[in-house]
Amino acid sequence: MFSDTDKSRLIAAMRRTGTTRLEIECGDDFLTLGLKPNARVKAAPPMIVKSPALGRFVGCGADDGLTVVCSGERVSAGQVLGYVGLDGARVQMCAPKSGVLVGNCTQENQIVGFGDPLFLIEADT
Amino acid sequence: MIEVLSIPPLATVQDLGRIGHWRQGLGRAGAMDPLALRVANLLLGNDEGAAALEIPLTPARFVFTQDTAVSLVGAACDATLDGMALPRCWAGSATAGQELSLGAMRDGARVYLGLPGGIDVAKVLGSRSTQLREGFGGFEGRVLASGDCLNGAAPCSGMVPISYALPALREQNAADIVLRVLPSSETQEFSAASLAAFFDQPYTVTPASNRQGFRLAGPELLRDAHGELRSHGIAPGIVQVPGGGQPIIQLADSATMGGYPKIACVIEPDLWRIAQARPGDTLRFTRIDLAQARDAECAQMTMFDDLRRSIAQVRHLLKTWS
Repeated sequence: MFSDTDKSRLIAAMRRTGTTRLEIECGDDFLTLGLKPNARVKAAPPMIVKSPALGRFVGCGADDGLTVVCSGERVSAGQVLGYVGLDGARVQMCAPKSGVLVGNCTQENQIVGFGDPLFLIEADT
Repeated sequence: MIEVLSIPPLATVQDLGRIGHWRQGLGRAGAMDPLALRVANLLLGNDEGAAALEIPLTPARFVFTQDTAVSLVGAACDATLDGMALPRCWAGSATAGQELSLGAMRDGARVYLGLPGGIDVAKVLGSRSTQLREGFGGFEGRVLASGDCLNGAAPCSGMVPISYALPALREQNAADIVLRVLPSSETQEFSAASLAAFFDQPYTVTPASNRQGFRLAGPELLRDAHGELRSHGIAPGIVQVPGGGQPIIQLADSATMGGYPKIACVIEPDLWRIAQARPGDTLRFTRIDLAQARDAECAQMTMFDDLRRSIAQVRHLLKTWS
């Protein structure tokens, strides 16, 4: 026989551990407890890498000897993702944190302004 | 400021060369790829002819002994700074203790490493270039070795990373590197078939190629005229044809005199392309006239004017908006 105190402690443990269903057999007694699943913890929004300058966007890997970085690939903090070119000279954009590149917001050679979003990164927690 | 941890032989300090001593039998020396050297300096805000380290062979490793700005321009060589990949044409900051590593070269054959104010070595006969044959200039008149330390001539502990798109070595999808040439004093002495071959067929860079000159392999070139020539003045870019019929392009460390017949001369704006050619690469010569050579020179000057203006614009914008 499970007391109300036992049941309360089991329910608290289930909440603490995220358990949604518990079945206990103890002699002739059976106890089944169920909890409504919690809504998933909302993922942090992707980090936006913004344009550091006004100019034309140039992705890395075109002519710089680096490898092209595609959506879905892991990137390291400080890794070059692309450039904003201003009639020749280029300002480089680097990943601010390690994580996964989840979005590329612009096209090659497109004119971008200061602060325009260029990349989305799901940063490692 | 930067210490060499490991480097294959033949890395030397070079600037744009020692001009004006031909009559004394002293060649020009200087960067094999003056375009990359100038870009490496301009990205750092240096005088474009400042001394830099020319690296023709890798792998190489360096460690920074103090915080500094640095530039790296030339062949793609999987360069990394503490493991982080660097673009092939880059200037930025390095902090004390960081390691710069250069891997296997791809698409090119030389890399230039620049420091703020240029590499601080003594000026000898008007230049900081290493005169390898004569053993003076540059860093103690010799190639760099492990344990050597190089310093920049000006302090600069950091800068916003900046890059540039180097001109392509080849036309898009082309197999050969095209070099524009002017006729030389013995051009017309070569047979019509030889001239046709020289201007129509590709020539392959052989492993017997260095700062003095590149030996090429291709269709044999024969002269209709007979007899030996007297020695006469030669300069970087001259294409000579010795008895074997295979051409040699004289380059930065060329002698000042030579007696082989000269079939052509590569124009100065294209000399950097030879410097970035690797053994096995193919070169194709295209004949131009003096007016076209002048146009090519003007086009390169315009490119550098645009680069200077563009770098100034980027620096101004970053300073204003950040």
